[in-house]
Amino acid sequence: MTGARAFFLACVVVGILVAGAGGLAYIPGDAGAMPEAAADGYQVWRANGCVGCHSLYGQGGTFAPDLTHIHSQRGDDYLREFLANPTAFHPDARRMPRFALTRAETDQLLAFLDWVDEQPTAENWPPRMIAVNGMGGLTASNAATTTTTVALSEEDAAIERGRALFSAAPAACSTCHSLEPNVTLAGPSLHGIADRAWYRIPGVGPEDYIRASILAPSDYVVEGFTDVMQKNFGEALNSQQISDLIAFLMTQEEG
Amino acid sequence: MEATRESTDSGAHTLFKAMIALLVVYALVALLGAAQFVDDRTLAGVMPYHQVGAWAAVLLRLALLTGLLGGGLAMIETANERTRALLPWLVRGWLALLVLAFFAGLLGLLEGRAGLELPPLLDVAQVVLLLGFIGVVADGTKARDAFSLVWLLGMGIVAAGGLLGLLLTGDALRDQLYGTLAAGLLLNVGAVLAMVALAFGLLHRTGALYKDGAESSTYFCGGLLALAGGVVTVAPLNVANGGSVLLQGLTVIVALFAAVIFALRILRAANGARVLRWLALAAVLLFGGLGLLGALTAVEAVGRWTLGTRLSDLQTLLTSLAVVAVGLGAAEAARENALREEHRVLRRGLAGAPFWLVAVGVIVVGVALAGAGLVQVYLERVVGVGYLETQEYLAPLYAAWIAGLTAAGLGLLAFGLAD
Repeated sequence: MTGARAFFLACVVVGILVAGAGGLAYIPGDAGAMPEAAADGYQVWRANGCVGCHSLYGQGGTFAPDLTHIHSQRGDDYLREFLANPTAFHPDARRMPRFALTRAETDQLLAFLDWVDEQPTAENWPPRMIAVNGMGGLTASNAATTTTTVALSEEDAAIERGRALFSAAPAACSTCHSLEPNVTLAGPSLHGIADRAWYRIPGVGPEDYIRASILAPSDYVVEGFTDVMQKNFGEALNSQQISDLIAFLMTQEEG
Repeated sequence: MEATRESTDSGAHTLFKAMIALLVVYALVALLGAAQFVDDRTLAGVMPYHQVGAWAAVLLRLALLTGLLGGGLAMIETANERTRALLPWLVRGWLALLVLAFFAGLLGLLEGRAGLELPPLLDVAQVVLLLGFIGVVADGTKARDAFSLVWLLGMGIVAAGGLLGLLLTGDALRDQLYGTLAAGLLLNVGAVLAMVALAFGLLHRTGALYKDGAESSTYFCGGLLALAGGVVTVAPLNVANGGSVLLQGLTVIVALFAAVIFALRILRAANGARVLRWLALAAVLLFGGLGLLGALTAVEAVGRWTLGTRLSDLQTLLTSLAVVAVGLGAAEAARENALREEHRVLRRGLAGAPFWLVAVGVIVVGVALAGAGLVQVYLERVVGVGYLETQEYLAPLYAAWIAGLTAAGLGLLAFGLAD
């Protein structure tokens, strides 16, 4: 029995050492220390039990999306509006409760999420951007099926790419804009945008208006809506993607 | 000696009853949480999910610890007067902790830190009480045999995990790291070790294994599973940070080997006796949790895709349920010992249904959540469908999860009422 006991004790010691050493190897150095605003935001994160539903770097709750990259995906303005009024977003899906954060708490929380996005772990994980919503590759695969049976013109191919982008990361316009008439989400319905864009802004053509609305949304805020659209689509989307989105939106007519 | 056995057996019985009550409440709370995955509109008004999830996690963890403590008390042969005086207070203290934890969960006072959600004062009380129980069992058994030695070491590691979890640095990455290590030490190493000791102790006490064989199995399986628990604990950190290939390989080999060896030893020895069916269930759950999922998700090529999905959740859940199953086996054995022979014969006719309800329910839960995890990995991570749309596709699997939980909850209720 002495040999068996020695084997057991050796395994326990090695197991604990591996767990300890393996884990402690990932302790961030001082360079990774949290700045004050992010540290305050971390306290807001803990106080509101965010990890009960959300995860960071894949660890935490599974009731809501992982938020490792949410700051670069959505930007400050969108997230601020979302935190103030979460039930206005994703009306047909699982909704986040409103936590009544103060302005300062919101700023701190956003600083924390920004910090999370910038850590070395965030460069390695996830292997592919996790979208909060959108049909992603399922829409793209439908488009691919179409192209195998009928050769699309370049214009039609652009429209199909734009259709996929509308409801998938990194654009995911469908989060805030519906294509159905009279359905208002966080932003106005884009049903009929192809017609409205002609006369929305005098002297500005429809494609230019739509492009400006994507790249500089603060320039043309629709009456009755607040200026909460993400401002970083210029970085998140390349010029081809923006052109594809415009091509798709120019098919959204009133009739 | 008789007086000693009475007081320790009485303490063990009380803890087993508390474990069963906790498990029934856990099943109800977990049902509320599962139902919110299908429909959060109406049910979120009852209690928001982040509170429900934390409450369920706390209840499950306390239930498995309560079962392990009851099993430990059942091992005591002799105790001095001081220990006999202390034991009832420890049991009362633990019951008070359970009641306070229940209300803390109901009132939404839990901390939300994954795996260690009790408010700090209750966390400290938990560790202190655990150390008290360890002292009592050490005094009563003198660690004379493998079962008591491995149990004591396992519960010591549980207490150490609890202490580590109290460390809060104010830095998110450090806290996540310490929280992962603490939760892993508590469950994957400490609780699993104590579970192994109870399992082989039961096999010996029911006559399924001779003492030498049971003790050598305790040491061998305990050692392997402790090693497996250590490497599986650190695997998510390794995967998220693109770490060591050597560690990945070690985890796969050790986790699978340890779980298979434990399962084979238990299944060969569990001779159909009703008490031992719980051990067989534990072996299957541990193979699925610590073994199969622990090994698969430790490989970076797999783990990078599964991290943060229901599959990584499921590894912890199945391991916890394995420990619970052994606790239920120990509770059943304690009941059988306390009954006169004629009552045992009557109860045997009734005792089958609760086991099968729990076993089938838990396996349905495991299969449903595994399926949900796989679908989530494919749609969300491979195809790129958004999280919210993916959850809609998972609704049928969540319905199966609810059905499994319902069956398991009814089985636990029947088990408790059969006492």
